[in-house]
Amino acid sequence: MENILEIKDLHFQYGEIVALHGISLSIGEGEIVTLLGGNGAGKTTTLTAISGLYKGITAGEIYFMGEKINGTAPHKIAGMGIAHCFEGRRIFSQLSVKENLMMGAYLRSAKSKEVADDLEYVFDLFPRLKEREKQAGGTLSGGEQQMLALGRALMQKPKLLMLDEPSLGLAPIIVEGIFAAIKKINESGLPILLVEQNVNAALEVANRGYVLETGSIVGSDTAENLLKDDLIRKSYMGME
Amino acid sequence: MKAFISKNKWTLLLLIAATALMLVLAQKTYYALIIALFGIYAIVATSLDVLFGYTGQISLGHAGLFAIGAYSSALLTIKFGVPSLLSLVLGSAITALIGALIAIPASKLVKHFLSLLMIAFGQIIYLIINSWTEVTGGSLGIMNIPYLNVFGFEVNSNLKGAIVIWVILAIVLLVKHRIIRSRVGNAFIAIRENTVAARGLGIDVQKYKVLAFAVSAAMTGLAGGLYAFLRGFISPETFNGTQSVLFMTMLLFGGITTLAGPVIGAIVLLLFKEVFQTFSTYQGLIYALFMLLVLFFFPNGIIGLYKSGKTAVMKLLSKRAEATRNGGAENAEN
Repeated sequence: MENILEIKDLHFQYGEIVALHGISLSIGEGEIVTLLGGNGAGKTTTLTAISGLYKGITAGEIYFMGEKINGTAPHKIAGMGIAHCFEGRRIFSQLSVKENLMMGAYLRSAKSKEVADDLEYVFDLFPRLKEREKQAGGTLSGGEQQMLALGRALMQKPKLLMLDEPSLGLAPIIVEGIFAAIKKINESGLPILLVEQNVNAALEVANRGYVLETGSIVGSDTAENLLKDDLIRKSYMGME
Repeated sequence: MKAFISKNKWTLLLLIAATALMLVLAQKTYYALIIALFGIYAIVATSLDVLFGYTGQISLGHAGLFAIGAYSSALLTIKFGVPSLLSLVLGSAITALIGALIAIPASKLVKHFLSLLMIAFGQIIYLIINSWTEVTGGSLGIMNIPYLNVFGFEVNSNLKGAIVIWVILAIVLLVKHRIIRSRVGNAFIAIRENTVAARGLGIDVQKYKVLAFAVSAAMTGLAGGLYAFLRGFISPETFNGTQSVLFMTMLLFGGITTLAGPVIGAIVLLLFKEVFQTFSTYQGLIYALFMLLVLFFFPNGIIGLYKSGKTAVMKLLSKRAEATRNGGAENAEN
């Protein structure tokens, strides 16, 4: 099976500060892979290195569907089919829900049938967004904004979806809904790279996981095994 | 086109009424001059809206671009004998090119860094036109600029100037509307709203920021050329830093991201300037007061004030109508 994404010995620096000390990971077709780790472990850095939003790769390679993408401009990486759903959501607060979603389809022909179908798909997935179609993005609740950010990423019709902390600042019941949606999105075959502080929720939906600590991968296993792993349970889930 | 007309019917009606009124007033040549200047400044304020209102890039150096348009159009005609209409177009193109060049470094800056760069740009242009005496005439400026000639129609009076300029303003507004409604406009708005997200959605942020600068500069350069041909005389004082502040004040006062806002802002501020001509020493102070007034009391400008007022009235009316309906229903039941 060919990997959708393959990272080989990636080093990343913010100026003088080394954030990643040579990490390697891969995502196969249709997989949900999660990156676990505390604050400052390098999870978000890994995502921004992949999408090219910050420059700082000092060594190593990133391959997307067999093609080397490090050094490529971020808008081109987005165009190749990597959608990055940002931490803190970053929706367009003054634009309406529908306008936000249509911005997601920026690189596609807005009048095509496919885009209309995808809009329907997003509205089916999150009926709440359909109800608030004309409302300004900034007036939505946190959970709705997360749905919007997810929906906007889906409108890119990506081949890989990267989610950064989708549960951040949301009530448990809302988190449940978001993760149900993530599961459903993945069932359509879309591979997902998930960064999440809520380790339990992440491992519930993921196939595999990598554990990051201060910029290095210290472990990787199937989600099932990680859920049982003593170290993980103690370090990240506060369980004995 | 139909949708455009129905959506902007009040703006258009207002425009037609204003045009009629102005045509009457313009019988006096002084009024005609003021009306022509309204149009010129409205083009500049509109160009700033493309840059600041839609793309979120601030410029306090547009007087520099205005100067480039004015001087290059005038010099092309006087020194090289280029027909005036062609000079006007070339002047606009030269300004667009210089705008794009300055945008390449400028587009990497945001907020106060960008505004400082643009202030510096305005100052540099001001210095150049002041001291490059052999070409620009230095502080004396350029005199005897010929009339604009539009396909044989010589614009040799302020009244004719006013008409031509307002027609050009209408074209500029239409172009702006077209750009904003297009994919390019979407990219501009996405960049203003959230640059990182825009990049993540596949928008080439740098390219569109430079494009916004070029479009804005082209419009301002065009206005500069019109100014030169209208007045027949230009000198550095028209293009100093205060002028850049005036342009920005016009936009903020009128209201950003609307068609009518910059036009109204330009008219109000210019009227103000004419009425209080005697206080010219304090002009900078007055603009600053205007800007504070806008920022504190109606941050969305006159147009924003009008819109929120309209929404409030509509709400009140619909409430009243509902109350009457409910009252009526109750009465019927009784």
